[in-house]
Amino acid sequence: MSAERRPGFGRRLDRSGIPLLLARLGVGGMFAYLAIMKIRDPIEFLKQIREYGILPTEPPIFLNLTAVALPYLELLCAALLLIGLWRRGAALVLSGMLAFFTPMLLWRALGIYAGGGVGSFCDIKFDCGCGTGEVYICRKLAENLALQVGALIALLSASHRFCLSALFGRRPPAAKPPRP
Amino acid sequence: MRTIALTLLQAVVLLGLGVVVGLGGNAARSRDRIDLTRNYAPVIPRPVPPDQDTPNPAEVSEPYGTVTLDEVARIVADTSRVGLDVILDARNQKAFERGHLPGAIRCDPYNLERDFDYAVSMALGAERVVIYCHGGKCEDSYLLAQELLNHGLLTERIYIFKGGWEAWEAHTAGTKAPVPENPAPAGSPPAMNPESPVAPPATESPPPAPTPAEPSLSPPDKVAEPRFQEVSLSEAIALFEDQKTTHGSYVFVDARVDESYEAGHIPGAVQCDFYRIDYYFPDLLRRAAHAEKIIVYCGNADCEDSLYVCGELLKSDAHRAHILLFKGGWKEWNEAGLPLATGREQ
Repeated sequence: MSAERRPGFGRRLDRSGIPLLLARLGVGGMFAYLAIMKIRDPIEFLKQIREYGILPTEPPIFLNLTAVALPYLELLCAALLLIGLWRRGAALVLSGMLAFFTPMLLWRALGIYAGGGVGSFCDIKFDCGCGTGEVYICRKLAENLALQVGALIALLSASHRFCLSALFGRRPPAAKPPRP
Repeated sequence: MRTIALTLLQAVVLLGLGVVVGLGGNAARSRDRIDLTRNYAPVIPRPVPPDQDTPNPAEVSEPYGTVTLDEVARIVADTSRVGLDVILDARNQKAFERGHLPGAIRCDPYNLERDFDYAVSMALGAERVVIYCHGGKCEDSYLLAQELLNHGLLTERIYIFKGGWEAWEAHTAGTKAPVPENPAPAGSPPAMNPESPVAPPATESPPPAPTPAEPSLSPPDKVAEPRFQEVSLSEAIALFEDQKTTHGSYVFVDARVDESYEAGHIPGAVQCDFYRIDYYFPDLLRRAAHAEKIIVYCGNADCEDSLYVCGELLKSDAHRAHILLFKGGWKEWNEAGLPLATGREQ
């Protein structure tokens, strides 16, 4: 009577590897695109991150290094996520970036809103330095939320299916063939 | 626990790799490379609220004069002050190529190695230097102004056109033949207000009323038109075959570097590599002293060295000659199988 407990739906879904695959493709693809857009115009990206006022302009090395490194870091993590290698580390970095920059984005939008001249909060449109030019704030926040969910799935999923890392993982030793 | 440690280790390694790859990618760029040690943040004067008792003096005073749309329109229209009023476009190459103020010189403060020498040489010889960028909140004109100050340009000669390209574009789109109100008489400098700390944005200025009797400014589709007259390949050939070229009344000028010039050039062309202009220019001026027309070319339609040499000629004694720009340059000439000379001209 001691029937083995069936795993819940969530776990079964996770084991199928489908949510992980979708998350990897979605987050990896989106970040790869955004990173390429930033790499194409690093000066514009530098100007945009300066707008946030997070980093000091003097000495300039911090701001400039961030503008130089961040897009390539995004691209690297996106590529690893897409191929499924070092998936958790890449997802952690991307999730951390989203967790840091999304409140900054919100803060800047609130600043614009407080300045007046816009109808509703969702009417605020500005270049957030995300790589896509001017965007409506509500849409951008929703997009970041979706990316964060995807990054967390990639980080926490127990599955290794459809990942390149599965090829290098430990496998059970093959049974020795019986001697004739 | 092992998974968490491994994940953290991966993240740290990725951060380090990101920095290394980023630095490598930045170093490999031929343009738009970020100089890690350069402060790209310009000092922008901000209006201080009147109730603030102890304002920061650095933030109170506008360091530069400002010009309105009307004043810029007058400057553009006044061809008698070419070289005395210099307009610098502080936007990037793409934006400049999409359209710019007539006669404006491109000088992206983020890509100084590209255009800065020429812009500085023009600005130092000018009485007024008007700088603009996109308009709105753009800060690139201030960054360029700072760089010019660092290279010896006097503060009182710098004027910021705050409305920028947006204001100009809206202005030219609204009026087919826009002309400033009360156009200044030819030769007289346009009125500017260096005293005004916060000039009203140019976008708020009423659009100048069209006056058919006055010279009109370029419509938007002609905004990018250069100040120098361009000649096509067929026109260049006609000039080359003209007897006046043989007699030295028409002078061809090759603005390319030594190697390119020596490998092949239009027969009789005088070399004037813009980047070694101090070396070549005296000889060019001697040859062009009595020239009727000076035809300048460089590598191809994309190169701008010929334009720069044209600018130098305009400032020199040779400005009386008709300066022409053969935009197609050596590429077009050579591809057409036309006569060429190699080595150095005697």
